[in-house]
Amino acid sequence: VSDEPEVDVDRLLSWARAQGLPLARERAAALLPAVSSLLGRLAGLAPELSPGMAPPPEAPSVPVSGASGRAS
Amino acid sequence: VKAGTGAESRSSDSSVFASAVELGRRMAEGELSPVEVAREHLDRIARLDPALRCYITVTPERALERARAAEKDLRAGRRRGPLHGVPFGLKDLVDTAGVRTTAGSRILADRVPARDAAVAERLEAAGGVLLGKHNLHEFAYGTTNANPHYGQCLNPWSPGHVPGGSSGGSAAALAAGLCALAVGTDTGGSIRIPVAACGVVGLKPTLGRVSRRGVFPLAWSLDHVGPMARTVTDAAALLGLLAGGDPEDPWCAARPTEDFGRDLEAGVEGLRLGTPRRGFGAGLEPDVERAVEEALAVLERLGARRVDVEIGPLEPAYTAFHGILASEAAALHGPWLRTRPEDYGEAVRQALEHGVFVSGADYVNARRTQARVREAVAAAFGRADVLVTPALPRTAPPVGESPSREPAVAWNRLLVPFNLAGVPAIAVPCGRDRRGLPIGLQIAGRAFDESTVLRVARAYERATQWHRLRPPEPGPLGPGGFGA
Repeated sequence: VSDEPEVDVDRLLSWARAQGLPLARERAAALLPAVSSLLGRLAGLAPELSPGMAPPPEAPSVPVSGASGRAS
Repeated sequence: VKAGTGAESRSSDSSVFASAVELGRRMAEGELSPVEVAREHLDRIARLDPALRCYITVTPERALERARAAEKDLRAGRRRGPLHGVPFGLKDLVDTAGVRTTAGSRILADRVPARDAAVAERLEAAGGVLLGKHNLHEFAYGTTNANPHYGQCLNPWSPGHVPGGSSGGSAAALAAGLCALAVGTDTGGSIRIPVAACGVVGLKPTLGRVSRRGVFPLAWSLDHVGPMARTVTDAAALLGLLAGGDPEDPWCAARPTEDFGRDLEAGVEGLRLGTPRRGFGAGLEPDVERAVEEALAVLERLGARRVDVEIGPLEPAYTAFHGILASEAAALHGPWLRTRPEDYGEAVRQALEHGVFVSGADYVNARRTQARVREAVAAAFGRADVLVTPALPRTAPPVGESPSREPAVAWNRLLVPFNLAGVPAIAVPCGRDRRGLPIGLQIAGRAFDESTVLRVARAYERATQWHRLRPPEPGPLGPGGFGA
């Protein structure tokens, strides 16, 4: 299980602010299910490190943000 | 449903359903007048398009002027090629000098380019007659052509169903006899979805085969420009015209133009048809599954051999596609999303906003997954000459239904592996469901081997009649027609 933060409305608002995107709380709430699903699936991709080398064992496989490098 | 037994009508002697190559030949021989053919198409557009909404802009004066010039040239023996004088339409994200190009958006509603896109330039130089600019899903970001600014384009086979998208106006126009050829774009199926849904033909060429200069992007690493037509022969002729290197497009391969018609009639004897089983057979509508099995049986009877291939699970491929698409589209639209978000339709605005939250690390992992898909597809072509799959797992949804982007059920999930791999893939009609809606067959090939893809598609087309079916001709008030 990853120790990265789960996606929630406050986090979406914070990421949006950091990118200068105007986003109301109600709008963030409406986006949350689809965004959470997409980010969870992307975090689950866990490609191999190098050809023939398995992904790192701690690679997230549950719906989490995969938020490396993101403003929070 | 057997070809010829439904409510469809057969083509008439009118030029509006003639093959483009046939039109070009008859014009060159003086049997048909380019001006009369253009007029017949323009009249039909004026009559049917207020209900169908295939066109955002119609260019009648320009069309008649070009048709008159074509007629003069042809009479003087100055034929520029097989499509000289043939009427066509362009998806309205292909720049046309002096003709507004909206990308289906309010944001670009008044944009009039100063220069033609490379593909428009090539069609103009070949003597094609531009009828107008085709409706599309806003900024090409969607599969239903539910355009809030220019209207919902309708499926000519059933006005209660969408034509698919994003090149929906182009496919519907071909199906309804409102143009002889069209140029579309395909980022995650946007040529193959609507042609499958409307019972016509469309080819996504190899990435780099056709210049994208002057074509409004959706996702830079996945966008392809390609031909749409009513027959495989016409698609091959149009590809021959569109393909070729372009020093102004860094993505475009420096390859000479090929004659894609050369092997078109060579048949499929001895060719290996790869059928990727994992994921491609899941969740198909029974009519789709039956039609595709029958299509494979037709190709086997013609001498091809069927082999099982493995290109990996579809779900990670679809997730990688979705991540790349969302991220690249958000990068492109970021400035407008920040300053004028209210000018987008709600659905496209939401899809763009999703991409804002995809991190750099997510994007990189998606691109690395794309590389794995590309390797797996290339490996499959070690065992097969082409891959054959359904184009869509279901026929066209009703107007108002929003297709899901969840990988297990996404409408375009069988198409995106070939966008990720950048290899050519065509969709051709292969049946009708019990409601009479078209079903499409997808045939994909090795990179830059469009010739084999077209050859297999043509062999199938020659052996079947699906491409000859026409939607019911609408009456002005008829309950079943799209003029209702």
